[in-house]
Amino acid sequence: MAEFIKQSWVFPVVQSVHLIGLTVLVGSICLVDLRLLGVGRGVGRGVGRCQHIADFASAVAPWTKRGLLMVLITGPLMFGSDLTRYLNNPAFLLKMGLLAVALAGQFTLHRRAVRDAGTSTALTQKIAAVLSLIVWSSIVLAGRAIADFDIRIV
Amino acid sequence: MSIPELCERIQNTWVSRTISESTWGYPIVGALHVLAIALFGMAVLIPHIRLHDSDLDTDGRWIRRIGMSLVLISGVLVFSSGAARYYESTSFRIKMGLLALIALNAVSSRRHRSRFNSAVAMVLWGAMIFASRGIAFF
Repeated sequence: MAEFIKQSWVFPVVQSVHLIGLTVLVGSICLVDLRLLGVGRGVGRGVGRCQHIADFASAVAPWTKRGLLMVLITGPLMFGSDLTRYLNNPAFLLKMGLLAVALAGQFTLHRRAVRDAGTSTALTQKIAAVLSLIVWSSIVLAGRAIADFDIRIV
Repeated sequence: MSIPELCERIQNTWVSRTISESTWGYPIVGALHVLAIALFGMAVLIPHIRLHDSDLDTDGRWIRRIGMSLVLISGVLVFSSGAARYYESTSFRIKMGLLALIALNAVSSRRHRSRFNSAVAMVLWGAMIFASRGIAFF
C-alpha cells in the first residue's frame, strides 16, 4: 500500500485531493470567522444579509465536515507512505501539534462563540475568530513547508 | 518579441530575481499563494453551492474579490520568479487554459447563473488544483 501511494502519479493525486479538502475545510471555517469579525455581513444585497451567524455557520457546517473527512483520509495515506520522512520533518511535527490545538479549539471555544453569536458579536467571540484564523493559517503554512524542511535520510 | 523572450524578460525583472535568488523568497510567495487559496477558495465556491436553499451569493462578494486578488497577485509573483520554466510546463499551460475557462464561465453566467454553470465552475476549480500539483511533474 505504502509503495503504491509513493508511486509517481498516485502521490500527487492524493496530494491534490488533500488540497481540495483543505480548501473546503479551512475556507469554510474562515468564512465563519470573518462573519464573527463582522466581515461579509451587510455587504451586498444578498438574502443572507441579516442572517444570524449561527445559521450561517450551520449552513456551512456540512462542507466543513466534508473537507475534514477529505483531509483525514488523504493525510494519513500520505503519512503512511513514508513514515521516516514525516517523523523527521519539523514542519510536519509542528503541523500535527497545531492540528491538535485547532481541532480542540474548534469543538470548544469556536463552537461556543458561534452558538452565542446573534447578528453581532462580542469581543470574546472576535478573539475566538482571530485565534481560529491564526491557527488554521499556520497549519496550511506548516503543511506547505513540509517540502522545504525535508531531511533526506540516505 | 516572442513569448519565450517575454518570459525571460519577466523573470529578469527586479521583483522576480529577488524572489528566485533569495533562500526564502520562493517558499514564502508559494506558501502565501496556497494560504490564499485555502482561506478564500471556499468563498469562491459558495455562490455555486445552494446552502439550505438560501442563496448566499452576494453576501461574500467583497471577501471573494479580495481573496481572488490575493490568489492572483501571489500567483503572478510565483510565475514571474521562473516564467520561462512555467511557460514550458504542459501542466501550467493546462492550468492557464482552465483559468480562462473559469473566467469565461463566470462572464457567461453574470446575468443568470444556471445549475450547469455552477457544476462547470466546481469541476474547473477542482481540475485547477490537480493541474497546479502537476506543474512539479510535467
